[in-house]
Amino acid sequence: MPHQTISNSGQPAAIVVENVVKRYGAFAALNDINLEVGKGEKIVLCGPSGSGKSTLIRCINHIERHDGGRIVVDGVELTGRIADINSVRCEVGMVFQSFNLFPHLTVAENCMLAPMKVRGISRSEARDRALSLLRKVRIQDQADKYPAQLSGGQQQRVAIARALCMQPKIMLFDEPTSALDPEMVKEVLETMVGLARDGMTMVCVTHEMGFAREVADRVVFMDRGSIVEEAAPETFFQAPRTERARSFLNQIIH
Amino acid sequence: MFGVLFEQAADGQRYIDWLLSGLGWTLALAFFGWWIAFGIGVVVGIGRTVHNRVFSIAARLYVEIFRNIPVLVQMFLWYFVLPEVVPNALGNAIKQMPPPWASFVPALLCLGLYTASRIAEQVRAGIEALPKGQIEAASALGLGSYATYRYVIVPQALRLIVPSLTSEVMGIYKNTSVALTIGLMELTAQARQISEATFQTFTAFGAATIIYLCLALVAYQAMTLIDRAVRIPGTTPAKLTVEQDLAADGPHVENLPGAMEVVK
Repeated sequence: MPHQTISNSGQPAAIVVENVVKRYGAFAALNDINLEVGKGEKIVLCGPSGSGKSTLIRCINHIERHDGGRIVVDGVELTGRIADINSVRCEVGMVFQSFNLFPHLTVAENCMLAPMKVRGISRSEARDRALSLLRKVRIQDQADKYPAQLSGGQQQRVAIARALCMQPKIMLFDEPTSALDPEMVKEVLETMVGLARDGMTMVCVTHEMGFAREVADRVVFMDRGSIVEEAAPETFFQAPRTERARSFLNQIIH
Repeated sequence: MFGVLFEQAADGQRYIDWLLSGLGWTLALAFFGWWIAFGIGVVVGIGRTVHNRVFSIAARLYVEIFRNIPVLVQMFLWYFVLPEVVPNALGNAIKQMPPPWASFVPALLCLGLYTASRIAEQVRAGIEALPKGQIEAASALGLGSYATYRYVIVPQALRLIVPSLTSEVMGIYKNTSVALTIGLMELTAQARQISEATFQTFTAFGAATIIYLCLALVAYQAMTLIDRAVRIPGTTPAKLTVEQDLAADGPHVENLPGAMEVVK
């Protein structure tokens, strides 16, 4: 698989990860990872707990710093000294497992903060944008409530809207449905499917295999800090090549 | 029993007027000292949590120095020592301040800076108690460190520490009594003066005690109102907010205050 900034299709890649290593003391959380994500591509990252999938997407957003190799996001090198990490982060939205909404701000203010303070747009424009994206995640009537007054599924949809308000080119999802009650998983997944249909470049850490089948272009299976298998969803679920992927799939299906 | 307070003193005023004048200085010292303490305390408390080593070491030094020297000693340092160690002209100007100000200004600086070091530690604790995900979410949205502190971290940390700031409010107004040692005629000093003039020791200090108690109640009620006013809708009372955040975040250890980050 080639690892230059121009992908096979001739389009510049959205994300290039090359020989990336991340260590916590003696423990190698990421061990020589290579991954390329084309524009508009949807990747589902899965693997057992501790396999490094969250660490990988946190490195892509530079919330964690990688110790070796290179990461290029939207043409910007995220290795060594970075001139302005925040300009890259503006183009990359992130949704967390634990929502991480700002509890002291209303739903609308959560969505307006970064566009106003980072992009510098006016309050009224920020509010219009927030309301239109809240409508998109079907939660516009809660705009003036506080996060603690919403259900988990609603909070996670607000978190998605908040990330979208920055008009990112890439969205990263770190187990967005793992902290939700079962009946709320669907509403969040539907929102993500809608986003995928709109052509967003997405990297999702998730164990929702239905979602992976429906939207993923590729499933990337990680184990112990390495990418073990990479395949189209049908191939991966029907006929995993490696024993480790087979035993993982067996475990999550039950 | 308190009748003696309404008798006329040698200077033509009633003794109660002495007490009220003392109360005025006590309140002035506590009020202005509080704003100095709060302003510096928030800045130093933030300084304790930033990654910049120069700031964090300076903030640490500030806290260690001002918190660990007894208030009485600090009072003497500001009043007796400072005019001697600064350049002569400035030292003389300090010594020549007219009477109440010559005691009031050093007392104000002393209490303000001392209480600031205590507030700084509360602010630091409040910031460190916030879930790590808050900073991560702010970073992920592209907010810089100033905007993250200004709009995300500090507003939440201050709400968390309102209950513990109550004891700092009470602390600063009780510590105003130390100012009598450098000649400020605040409430305790006036009570002592009344006791010496009338030999009614019990009455003089009894009255002062009642006034201090009333002030404490007012301070407590005021802080309770503030706590209620800034409470985030949908959350439980302030002392429970940390647990509430944790409960909402589910069983993720990474959000426990001060916990080690979980490697996923």
